[in-house]
Amino acid sequence: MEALVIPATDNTPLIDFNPETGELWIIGESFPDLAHEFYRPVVEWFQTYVASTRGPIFLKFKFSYFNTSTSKYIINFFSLAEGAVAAGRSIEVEWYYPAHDDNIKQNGIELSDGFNIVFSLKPY
Amino acid sequence: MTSDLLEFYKNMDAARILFAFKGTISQNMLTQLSVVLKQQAHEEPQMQILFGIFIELSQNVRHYSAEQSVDTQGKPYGVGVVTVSEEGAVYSISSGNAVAPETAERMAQYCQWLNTLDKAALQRLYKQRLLEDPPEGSKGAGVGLIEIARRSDFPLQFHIRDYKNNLKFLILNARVHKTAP
Repeated sequence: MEALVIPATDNTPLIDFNPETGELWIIGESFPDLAHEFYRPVVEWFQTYVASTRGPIFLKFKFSYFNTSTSKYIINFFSLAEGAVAAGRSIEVEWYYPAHDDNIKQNGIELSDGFNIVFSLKPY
Repeated sequence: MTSDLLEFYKNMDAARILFAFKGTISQNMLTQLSVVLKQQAHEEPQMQILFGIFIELSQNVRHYSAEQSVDTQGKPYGVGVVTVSEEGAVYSISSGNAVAPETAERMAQYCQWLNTLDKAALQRLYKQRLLEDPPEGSKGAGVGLIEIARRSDFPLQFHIRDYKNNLKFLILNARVHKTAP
């Protein structure tokens, strides 16, 4: 499967999904004009990857800011990850947050709450 | 207008307006402004909150204003006004845009209801809406207002004014402390 790499812009994050290592990074600012136009292909890549491969997956979120319509897609990723984990897939979700930014940290805790996934907080 | 500019400036000064934008809320404007606000956010953590509220209010205007214009790519986008002002130790963020009368009424009731909820209830509602709404659904206004309400240090304020063409002008306002309490 081809890697998915979308360079960051001022309002969309870097997408760096590496099918070889299973490391899927989302890094930066996220307040796209139309969140679905940006995130739908990213989610679809993830679904295809989960369905067509077997190795461990490391889903790594490293946001400096995200808006509410991005939150829906973060939830979407957690939900898909939970489903895959239930089906036996190894998925680890890592939530990076600036050490000084309690908001991003709390957002990660709140959004992941209730999902049956391996979720770890990573200050940087 | 040029001769009135001093009056305009004095009014803005009296209202302690730090930033005001009127027109098509372009993504480019939001992006450029985010760069400026973020530089300040490094020194002032509250700026991050202010920025989040500003983005949600601006994107509401952009997606839901009943008055539209086209942006540089020819896409139709909402026209309105957004401001950031100071009220003593508080930052005040406001948006104003035209809406149908029934929308104005619905939004007013929604804000009133959000104001009755405490932070914990708002957090639960926020999560619940995110789980319920399919991501492809609305552009996000409902959830945006919940986020604004939970980040604000004061109740949401809203005003409905008569406007042209049988439309109403909806003003929404949120306020945060300049320094974290």
